[in-house]
Formats: sequence, structure tokens, C-alpha cells
Amino acid sequence: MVMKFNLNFTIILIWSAMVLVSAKTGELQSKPVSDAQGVFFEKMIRPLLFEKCVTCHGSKLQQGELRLDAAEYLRRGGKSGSVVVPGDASSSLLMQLVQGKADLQMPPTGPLNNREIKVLEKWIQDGAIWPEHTEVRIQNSEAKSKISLQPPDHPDLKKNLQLWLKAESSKLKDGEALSSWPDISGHDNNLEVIKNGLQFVKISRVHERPAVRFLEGNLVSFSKDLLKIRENPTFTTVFVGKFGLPTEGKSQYAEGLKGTSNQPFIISMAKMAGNPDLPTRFYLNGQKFPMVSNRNSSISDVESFLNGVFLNAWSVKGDLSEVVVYDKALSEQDLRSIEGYLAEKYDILMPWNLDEFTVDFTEKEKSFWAFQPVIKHKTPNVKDKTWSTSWLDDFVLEKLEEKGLQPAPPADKRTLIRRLYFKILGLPPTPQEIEDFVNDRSHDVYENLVERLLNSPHYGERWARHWLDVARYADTTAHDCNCVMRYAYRYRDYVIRSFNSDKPYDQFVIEQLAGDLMPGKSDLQTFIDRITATGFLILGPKALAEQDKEKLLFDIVDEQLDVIGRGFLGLTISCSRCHDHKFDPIPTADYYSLAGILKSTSTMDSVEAFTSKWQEWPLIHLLRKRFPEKISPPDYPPELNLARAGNAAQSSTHCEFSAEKAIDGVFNNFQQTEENDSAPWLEIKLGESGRIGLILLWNRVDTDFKKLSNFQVSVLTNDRQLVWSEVFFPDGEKYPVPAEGFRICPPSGTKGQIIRIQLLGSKKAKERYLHIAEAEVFSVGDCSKPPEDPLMVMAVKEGSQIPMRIMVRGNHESPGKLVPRRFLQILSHEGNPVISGEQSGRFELAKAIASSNNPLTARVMVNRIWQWHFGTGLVATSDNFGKLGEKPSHPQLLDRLASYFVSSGWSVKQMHRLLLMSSTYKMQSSIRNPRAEVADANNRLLWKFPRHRLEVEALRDAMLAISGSLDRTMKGSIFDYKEKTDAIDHFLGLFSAANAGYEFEAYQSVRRSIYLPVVRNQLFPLFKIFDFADSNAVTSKRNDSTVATQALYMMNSLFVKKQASRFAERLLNLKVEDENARIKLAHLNTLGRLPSALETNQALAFLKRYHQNKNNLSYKEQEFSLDAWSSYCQLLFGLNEFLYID
Amino acid sequence: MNLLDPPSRRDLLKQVGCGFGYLAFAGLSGLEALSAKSSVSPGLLEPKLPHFNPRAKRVIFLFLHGGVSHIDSFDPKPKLTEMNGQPLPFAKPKFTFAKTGNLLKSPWEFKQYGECGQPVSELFPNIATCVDDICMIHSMVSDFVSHGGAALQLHTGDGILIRPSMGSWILYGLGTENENLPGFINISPPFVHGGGQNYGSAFLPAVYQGTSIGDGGTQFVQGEIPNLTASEKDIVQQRRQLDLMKKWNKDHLQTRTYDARLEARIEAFELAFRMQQHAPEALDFSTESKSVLDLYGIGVEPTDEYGRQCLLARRLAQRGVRFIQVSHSYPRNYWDQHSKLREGHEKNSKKVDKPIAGLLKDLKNLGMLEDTLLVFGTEFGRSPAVQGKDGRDHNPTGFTIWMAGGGIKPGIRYGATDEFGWYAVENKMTLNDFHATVLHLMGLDHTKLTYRHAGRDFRLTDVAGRVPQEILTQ
Repeated sequence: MVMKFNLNFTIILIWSAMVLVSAKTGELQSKPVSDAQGVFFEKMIRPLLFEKCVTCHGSKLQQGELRLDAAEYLRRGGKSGSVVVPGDASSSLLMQLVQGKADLQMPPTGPLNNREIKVLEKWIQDGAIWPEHTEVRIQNSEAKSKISLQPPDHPDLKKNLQLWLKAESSKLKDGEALSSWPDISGHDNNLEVIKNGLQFVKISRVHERPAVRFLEGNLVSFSKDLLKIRENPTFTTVFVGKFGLPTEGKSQYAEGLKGTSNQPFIISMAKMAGNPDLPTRFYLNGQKFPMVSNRNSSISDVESFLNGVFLNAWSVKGDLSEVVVYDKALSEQDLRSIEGYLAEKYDILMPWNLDEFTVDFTEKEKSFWAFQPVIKHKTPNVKDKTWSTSWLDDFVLEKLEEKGLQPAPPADKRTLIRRLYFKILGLPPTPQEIEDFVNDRSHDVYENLVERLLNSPHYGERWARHWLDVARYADTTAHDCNCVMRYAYRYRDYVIRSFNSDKPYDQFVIEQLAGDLMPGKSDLQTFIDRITATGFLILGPKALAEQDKEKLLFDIVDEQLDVIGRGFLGLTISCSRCHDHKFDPIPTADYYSLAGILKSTSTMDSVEAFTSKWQEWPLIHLLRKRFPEKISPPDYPPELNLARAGNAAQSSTHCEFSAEKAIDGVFNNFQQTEENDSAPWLEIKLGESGRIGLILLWNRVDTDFKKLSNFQVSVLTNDRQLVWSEVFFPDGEKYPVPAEGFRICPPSGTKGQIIRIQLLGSKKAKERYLHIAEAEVFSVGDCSKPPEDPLMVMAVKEGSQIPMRIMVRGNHESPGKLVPRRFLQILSHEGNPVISGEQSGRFELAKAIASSNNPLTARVMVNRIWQWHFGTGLVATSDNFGKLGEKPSHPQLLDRLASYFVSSGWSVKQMHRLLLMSSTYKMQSSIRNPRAEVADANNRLLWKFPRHRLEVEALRDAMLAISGSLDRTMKGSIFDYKEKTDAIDHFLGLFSAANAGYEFEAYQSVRRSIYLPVVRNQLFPLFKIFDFADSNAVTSKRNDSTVATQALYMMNSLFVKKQASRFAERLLNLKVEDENARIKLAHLNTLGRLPSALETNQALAFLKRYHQNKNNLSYKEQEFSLDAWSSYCQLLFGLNEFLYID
Repeated sequence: MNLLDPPSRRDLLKQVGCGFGYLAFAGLSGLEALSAKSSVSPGLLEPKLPHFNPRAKRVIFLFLHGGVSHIDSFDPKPKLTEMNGQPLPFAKPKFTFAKTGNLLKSPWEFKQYGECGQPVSELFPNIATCVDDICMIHSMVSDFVSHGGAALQLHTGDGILIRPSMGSWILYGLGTENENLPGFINISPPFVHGGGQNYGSAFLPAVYQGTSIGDGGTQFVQGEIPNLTASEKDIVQQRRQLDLMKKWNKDHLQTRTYDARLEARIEAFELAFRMQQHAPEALDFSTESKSVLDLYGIGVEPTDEYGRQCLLARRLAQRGVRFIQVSHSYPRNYWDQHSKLREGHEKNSKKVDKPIAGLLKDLKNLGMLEDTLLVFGTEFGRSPAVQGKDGRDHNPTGFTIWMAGGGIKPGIRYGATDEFGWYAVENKMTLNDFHATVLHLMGLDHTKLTYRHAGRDFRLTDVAGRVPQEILTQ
């Protein structure tokens, strides 16, 4: 969630920056910025420049070679020279341009208004002061002594610069061989290749910047001049590059350095090796490692590389982007300034990047209750020793006694069983179950019931739905296209399974954030669950047609941070996107530290097309690798697989590499065909001629927009003679290959050696990229069988590790400083480990969240469980434990519960037992207590059990259960997304949608409500009316509104009428003595109690006279008709006693 | 409640004080005051005091979905005609929906109308006759180039995050004047481009969400409110059923600790029953005279359908509905002419021109225009440069919305686009500004109408919004 606040009350004015220009002379000078000047700039000037100028004079476009998005660019000016003369607005070109006094009028979109011109004028007149990054709270003292960054050829150093190799200055094409790497220092000390050409890499792994790649066997040399430096007593070298280093064990290059395989680093070395005192260091991932000085005989890659500069040849493996050599030892300050320059340029995290954003929180911030460690408080002493069943009750009673209040007496058994059934299962007890419970006199009858209910599979369905409110679960993406997230249901089923198996909550958290990264062996189902769980990160709403793809990606990260923050931690993290959190100790830098983790995670499969596509992929291939013994190609023994590694080979058009679509059922290295190829093809060469029984074809990714259709499959002989071919799905998108696969059976006896799949049709083939196709070939087959389920999942993948910068004011187009990837500082108790570049850091994040040292996670979850039982949490704002949230009503109880939760192994069921067995839970809801009604009107202290309105799911499920229609099948999708796609999916059929009427077949289903699709843009009308969760963000608590449209639904909807009449039929079909017995059963079914004599008479009268006055029929005939009974049953469904749980 | 002369807080409390007992009596005895004041969810829908004297009591928002071309309707550009076929002399926006080519002149002629002399193209000959009542805002800007974001931002103020709709905010701020009808009604809303989110209440209580009558995919003949369909023949039986239900609900209430929700729900059924009797009357055009039907173009093609929608809007407005949206929308109608601009816009304008003018004139005749804000809105305009052979792309950087009635200065134009009509250059009006203005006219200060959710106070206008005084009557 983007949170914007007016700057005037949000900026924390701690200026670290120095002014760039002097008002008097217009020259560069340093001077502190006053708060007022800073505020004026941030409030009036920066927004103006960003809105009016930066589109053309910013990072993307530099019209007239001018940029106006940072102080240094303003200082530099443009093609026409300086645009601002500080202190002299009238001589400033900028003023002339905006006032239309120059030849050009700026901005071209229209003149500034008077106010804007005046503001700009004042700013220049006052010295054009531009403080840097004013919104970032910088409290670290070291950061205040800012290093000024200088390029290697800075005037002060230029005369000593002997060598400067810069990969980006090469004009070579990607992949081209490099025979000489030219020196740009002016000394012509080019690096000459002696043996085996180097390779220029346009986008290397050095954070996607150009580099020169050295491979084994390359031999290079420098000119004689440079080599003379060897004789110098002092010199300095700085390198930017990336080499593979051993990832295990202690590094032999630098102390404390753990191996790395894919992170760029900077190595600086002053003077020659041999003098251990010199500042030779290795910067990696925000850390500085001193080089090992005691180098022994083992000549390593890096050493040989470092030494190589001074020998006349080197041999090293890796990418080098820049090499700088001076013929003197630079001062520490100069060296850091160059290191800093290169680090900024290559997005390499340096120690000062960490220091700068390491915040010293104030005592007040640190002492806020929610950040204190959880304490296992002692059970309080209470006066009444008879009431409590456990310590939980004592904590409750303590508060009541403080106010002089008494807890309500226990509820009767009929109330209790109804309460338990609805709270735990979301379903009503049957009359038999009620009677059994009421008549059972054994002392542990209640405990047994609780245990039985917690072990029912329907418990998971009820409680998973609570969690889905937090997880903003839905089956469509919402926004512009509202595409169907077809596999979201697997996540839902995973949540149900997790609750039923009482998965420890810490594990549940980790799985949803980083199940794919969890180490250790797991069984097949656990492995599948862990991958599926990460669908949590994808579930959020997305604007798939957003054309600014960077923005799209960033909005997704923001949405993920919102749900992680409010869902797990009860913190509104996303408030810090644009500025430090206004109320809670979450600096903007922390927001971006977390954002870096999610930005390095791939949520989207592709953002290239007009409509972007989220990650959705077949799990089966991964499973085949991990569990080869359990997952083999279905039905077919491996020997029937004709495409086996070692035998088969593959290729496709425009590919230099093999296509690798399906050899031994392994799929990777997808090669995309070129867009302009009108008939791209893919071939699997089997190695030898065999009988082709079955070709199995899948879509790799079941996208709604790219599906394999209109293609030709051919069987060819080795010399490419056609044996058999057929065209499939010529009418294109109408019948594409389903994700689940498509079976092709050539005529029996077809023999061949090459299988060719070729896309046909126009250049619109780009809609149907061949790279989504996968094929397997078998010698025999059976086309009558359904194809194997590739187990499609919606799950994230690790993405490329992208260095994260603060986005100034939350604007993705104005990147600020680099921040490390790490967890929130306020919650980091064991130091603040920076995440290594090897992974996104999701796993570390997940562990930090699910840690028992984290004071929030357990508190937030026990509070939610409490809320789902008692209607309101001990902290009423269950998604906000920050300063703006409510304070806990029972702080000690909350802590004790949290502590119990962790010590019971984060067992949710154990929490249920604790709560359900308590005397607090068993209280009446209907007690009258005038004193308490005044002292504690909202029942926050729990002097009675809070009356609870059924959620819409429980209401619907209860009606279905009572009418006898409920289908209790568990799991799976009932969302037939092919139907009515026009209404859901803009891009699939908008223009052909002639009819709407918009009711999915799925909504007619009689499955439990949790299985009904949640269509974000068009919520099921019943859900919409009865306060269903807002599936677009964390729903901490359902609304509880009472509106006439709900009553209309109960009175007139087809659904309610149908359930009422089914219920009536059920009653009428019962063999009972008289109508009284039926009335009794009707009451028991709906209200869980027997009707009074008066009620029975009133019911009888109603049923008898239902048809009175209606027509000529004598009402004798019409007495107790189905219609009358239906109306009566509907009436029962409409009762408050039915809807509210006492 | 007469909003121009707001009752004191004490008066209000007195009325509310009659409470449910009074209302239950009213329901039982068949008293059906047009402006029954009850509170079903306690306090949520009862009339609330505005922040200051409102100029309008209600809004009728005509939503022309797809993007009406401003430069072909109300914002003529002679320079565009002059430079037809040439390239745009300055930069096009960085993000566009589609690729566009050179400048394309409008295929329609413009003429000046009324005393104000506002130019209108041949597309809207009927609206042209009303220009002296209209304030044209030519400098609208939106942040979204695709329909989804743009439509959402127009309706809710945000195209990314899920926010309550403008109508929901107004209902939340003012309550309803007639609880026998929903306070926020959407006639034929679209089900794409944000769909239900465009009239959803998001985090506001569900009571503030819009109620739909029909949808964009269904031919509008006679409106129907979901579940308001009890037929005449079983109304007696239903009343009996409700009577026993009420009796038992009351007995139940007697034996329970006081719980406002229980009482409110008893009332909700009564209210629903009354609504059921009221709505058909509101939806029934049989009492309308021939001349009124003609004014809206009802009974004649191609105006019949939109004419019916507009007339229904007027009838709902008369009955105290706060916010009525009349959509001319996907999938059956769309103003999204990426190609065949001429055919598409002509076909559309022929359907809506007369009904819209008819509605405006009718409101005026009835003396309702004074306190009804009529808005002609679209999610964005279209590009002055051609898309393909004969279409125009989306253009959120400058487009036209017009307003009339309810405190809006008539016969003026506000803001301007550049000489080609691409960018708004003068008195730029953002959607935040637009929403602030609508709220202002309803007597609500957009900075004070807030709702606490997820740790902060939310507003329809987020942190921005400005009410241009120039377009308000004094």
C-alpha cells in the first residue's frame, strides 16, 4: 500500500547533506542546510521539478543533455550550460525558460502557473539549495562524515592514473572476442591478449553491467610501461569484478570471507604484496574483509590475478568490469572515494551503505510495548478461587475483579454444543448430536466433544477460511483484466491441510514465505506443500495491463510487504514506502531492505507482453528430479520412453543451442523462438528409428494468453522424409492445448526418427510462442486415457538478486541510495544480518519472522485465534500492533498466551484446547448485568461470552447442511474457468460478450463456501451482501453490518427459498406421529433447542392457515402443504436465534 | 431532511430518538413516509450533517465507458485540423496504451452554441442546446493509460489500491434520505475494468456499497433490484411469515442481553418489506407523460435504452437516492475507438445525446437541477494522433468532463489542453480535484471525510485534491 502524507508534517529533518552552491558567488561551496530551507525544497521544489521537468530531464531522457533529478546534475547544467545561477533568478536560464522569455518555452506541456513560477524564483534567489535525501533518517554518526565520490580520473589523481580499463567503453557486440582491452587512462597501457581471445559480455553478472570475461586458458599481457610500476615502491589497484570463489569453508583470500559464487566485489590493494600493514581489502555484500596477508605457496585465482597485473601475464576465471592502477599509494580518503564511486556505479553494497541506515532508535521507540520480549507472566492472585479452570481464567478474572465485576455463569449444554460446532466446524450440530451431548452425563463429555471436533476434517475448512482472510485469498487477479488464478485453490487446500494437521505455526509462516528454499529432506507431500505455500506471495491483486512494468513489479512488492507486515507482524510496513513511518520505528531504508528481498524473488513469469503474467508452472518436472522413484512418466515404463538422454537430441529454429524440451521427462533451458519467425519449429531427434506410439504435448505454462494452437506434428525419417503429419487446433485460440496435456497418437505402425512440431499461421505466432511447448515421445500409448496431471502450481521462484535502492518518495523512477537486504531493525535482536547475495533472502526473512525471539509473530497469531473465538482480539486492531493500533486489554494474558503458544510448539490446536476448556469460554452470552453494562459496555473484559453473528460462509453452509443438500467433498477446484470467461477476463472475450447475466455455475454448487471461487471484481452476490472479507488486502476482522439487502436475500433469493423447500421436503418425508414432532425437529435442526408449547401452537397455526384467503380451495386440503412448510423453514432461517450464536 | 436548512443536532437526535419503535409502528400500520428515518445498522445510514451548507443533495453520474474523445466532442482544436497528417511537434507521453502515428483531425464540425458560445461538435446536437447550463472542464488528467486503472481512479480515486467508490464515500458522509431505497444505485454498471470495485465500499462497511440495477452486458428494459422480486400473489403469505418471524425475534430479544444488532435486524426485515413495495413504484414509468418519454427519446431507437436509464435515474433522484450512476458501458457499448473512430463515436453519441439532454432539461423543468449535480464523465480522452488507420488511442493526459446543476457555475469552461488537445496545460484538474469538488458540492470537506482503516485515516482524495472556486456559483 502506498501511503502518502503531506510532507510538511512527516519529514524528519536530520540533514546530512551539505549545500552545493553558495548564494553569493554562485560557486560551489559547502554550507549546512537549514531545516526551513530543506522543508521548502522538499515541499515546493522537488515535487515541481519531478512533475514538470524530470520526465524529459531525468534518468530515462536527458533532453538537451540536462538532468534535473539530482543536485549534481543541476550543478552540471546542460548543453546550454548552467541553468541556474544561485542567488540570481533573473539571470538563470531556467527562469527565462519557464517564463517564456527565452526562445524555448518550458515545460513544453504548458507554462507553469504563477504560483509555481514564484516558488521557483524564490528558491533560486535563496541560493537554489538542494539537500540530499532529506526523507531518509540518518542517525549514524559515521554516515554524517560523508565520503565524496570521485571518478578514477579526478583532477587530483589524474597524473598518477596509469591504467584504466573499463568494459563499458568497448564498442564490441555482445559475445564478441576481444583481442585487446584498451586503456583509457591516456597511457596506452592496453591489455593485450596473447592466447585465446577474451569475450566481451554486454550484460554480465556484475549486476547486469558490461564486463570482460576471462576463461581458463586466456593469456594476456600489459605494455612494458605499466610493468615498470612493479618497480615502484608504492602503487594502488582497484578492481570491480566477479569470480567464483569456493563457497565452502574458510577463504584463503580474506579473513572471515565466506565463499561466494555470484556476487560482484571490489578489491582494493595499495602497494605491493609483502607488506602486511597496507590497506588491502575485499568488499563484498556490504562487508569489508582484510586480505589474508600471509600468502603461502598456493597460488590461487585471485592472487594470480592480483599479481598478474605486475607479471606480464595472468590467468583467471571470471568477469572484470573495471581495473584502475595508480603509480602511488592513495590516501585512505582518496581510495574510499574511488571505491565509493565504483560501488555506486556497479550497485555494490559497501559497509557505509549499511552504517548509514543503521538507526539508533530512541528509548521511547524501543520501549513500545509491542517490541518488548514476550514474558511468561505469573498467574495473578484472584479473590474468587472457584471459578477458574486454568491460568487463562485467572488473568481474565483479575481484570474483572479490578472493576468489581463478576463473570457470567456457564452456558447450558445446548448453547455450548451449538457454540462449539459453529466456532470449530462452521456447521450446526445435528439433532442427534445435540441429544447425545445433552444426555451424556460423563464428566469429560465437553472435553471429548472438543477433541472430536478438532479432529474433524471440517475443522480445517472453517479455520483455513479465517487464515484466507489474512492472506487476501482470491481466485482472480482483479483490476483491469481480472484474470483467473486457476491454481490459487491449491494454496487454499494447502491451508486447509495445514490446519487439519496442526502444522506448527512457525513452520506455516516459513512455508508461505519461503517453502521453496527450506533445506533438508522432505517427503513428497511436504515438498509439494512447501512449493504450493509460496502462492501466498502471488495471491494479491495485480494490475496486469500496467504498461510501466517497473512500476508493476514495484507495486507487487509493495502489496506483498503490506500483507507480510500486517498479516504476520501486525505492522503497517508499507506506510514506509515514501518516508519513514510516521508512527512506528520503521525507517524507509528498512522498507527497501525488505523490498530488496521480494524484488529478488520472481512473482511474475513475464512482464514483456501487454498483459503480464504471474508465476504458474508444472511441478511434475521438479518432482521427477527430486523423487524419481515416486514420479515417473505415467503408465509407461522408462523403456518405452523414446526420448532418453544420450540417445535423443533436440533443436529448434534460430537456436544455436539445443532446445531441450523433453529428454527423459526433464525440461529446462527454454529457448524462445524469435518473434518474427512465422513458422518456428522444434524437433526431437530420437537417435534411432522406432515405433511412435504416443506423443504427449503440454503447455509449459498455462497462460491465458499464450497457448499452443494451430500447429503441425510430423514424424520424419532420419533423412527427413515425411512419414506422418497432422495439423492440430487450426482455429487457434478457440481450442488450445490444455495445460494438462494433449495426447497425439499417430496411426499404429508409424515409425520414424524425428518428431517435429511446427507452429503454423501468421506472424501472430508470437502469441503462441513455441517455447511453451513440451513434448514427450513413447513407443506405445493409449489415447483414450486422460493425460497426466502436471501438477500446476502458482508459486514464486528465486529471481535475480538485484541490488535495491531507496526510491525517493516511493517513486520507482527516482532511485536513491543502495540499501542492504535485511530484516526490520527494530525487530532484529541478534545483530542485523545482511542477507548474502546467494539467495533472495526470503528464507532468512521467514526465519526472522517465525523466530521465537520475534516479539510480534506469536502475539499477533494468538491474538487472531482469540479474536476468531471471542469476536474481538485482546488487541482489538489485530493487524496493527503499532502505535496507532489499540493497546491490549489484557497485556499480561496476551504475553502468557504467546509464550504458551511458542512453548507448545506453535500448536494452533493446543491454543484451541486452552481457550475452549476455559471457564471464560463457557460463560453465558445472555446474562443481564446492569453494572457491567455500564462499567464495560463493550465487554472488553469478558464478563460474558460475546454473542457472535455467523459469517456468511457459516450461514450458507448451515442452511445447506440443514436442508440436507450440503456436499461435503473436500479440496479441488470447482471453478470451471472456461465458462463465462468473457465476463471475467477482459482480454479473452470482452468483445464477444453479448450476454452476461453474470452468475457462475460454480455459485450454484452445494459444496462448502470455502470452495466457492472468490472473484475479486465480481464477488458472489451473497458474499458481497453479508460482509465477506475484502480479498484485496489483509482483512483483520469481518464487518458486522445489518442491512436491508441482507433481509431481502433471506426473504426472496432463490438460494434461501430452495434450501427452505428442501428442508421442508426432508421434514415432510420423515415418518413421525404428528406435525408437532416435525415442528420439534425443525427447531432442533435450526436452533438447537426444542420449541416451547406456545411456539409449537404458533407454528401449527401458521402452517394451518398459510393458504387462508388465498383462493377457493378449502384450507383443509392445503393444511401443512409443502409450500407452507417451506415458508416456515425459511422463517426459521431468518430468525436472529439462527444467525447469532450465544 | 432539508439539507439547505439543516436541522440542529437536537432535532436530529429527536427524530432518531423515535427509534425503532416508531418505525416498527410505521411499518405495521402501512405508514410509508417517503423519507422514513431509521437506522438499520445503528447510525450507519441515518442522515448525517454535512460539513457545511451543501449545494447539491444528490449526484447523477453519467459514465461513458471507454474514453470519449474530447477533441471530437467538446474541445475543438483548429490547429489539429490545420496540421492534419503531420507529426506532433512535441513529445508524446512516455507510457501510452498503443502506438500512434501523425495528427488526425476531427471528422466532425464544431459550432458555437448558446449565450456562452461553447463549441460542440456534430456528435452532440442535443447536449449542444444545453451548454448554457453546463460547465465544461477541459483540463482533466488521470494517471492511467489503460481502462482498468483509469476507470478505478475515476470511481475511487485510486487505480491500483482498492478504495471505496465515490458514491460509497458520499453515502458514508451523508447517510440516506430514503431508506426504502438503496442510497447508492448503479444502473447498468460495467463488469470489466474494475467491475464491482468501481462501486464497491472496499473497507467501508458493506452498507455503503452500490446496488446494481442491471449490468453493462444486459439490454436495459425495466430495471430490477436483486431480490426485490416478491410477487403480488404471495405478498400476503410473506407478510404472515414475517409477522411470526418478527414475533419470535422479539421474544428472543426479550430473553437476551440488549444487543442493538438484534433489534436492527428485526427492523431490517421490515425495511426490506417496505422497500419491496416501494421499488416497483420507482421503477415503473407508467405514470410518466408522453412528453417526458419523448424528451428522453424513450420508445424510439437508438435512444430508447439509455433514455430509460436516464429517466430511471431521475425517478430515483426524486425519491432521495444520494448517488445514481448511469453507465453506458462495456461490453455492449464502449467509447473505445482504437479504430473506426467515426463509426464508433457516431453510433454511441446517437444513443446517448438525446437522453442526456433530456435528463438535464427534465431536471431543470422540475426545479431539480438546482440541487442535483449532473456529471458527464469518462475515464480518459483520446489521442490527437491517429492509431492505425482511423482510430485514436487513450489519452489520460488531457480530457473533458462536464458538470451541471448543484452549485456549478453554468455556461463556462474551465481549463484547457494544448493546441492539439494532448496535454492539459491550463488549470489542470486531477481526479482528486474532481472528487474534492463533488464532495464539496455535497457539503462535504474532502479533507475531513475520513475513515480509519489499517492504521491510518483514509480519504477519497488521499492526500491531494483542490476545489477550484472558479467553477462554483457564489
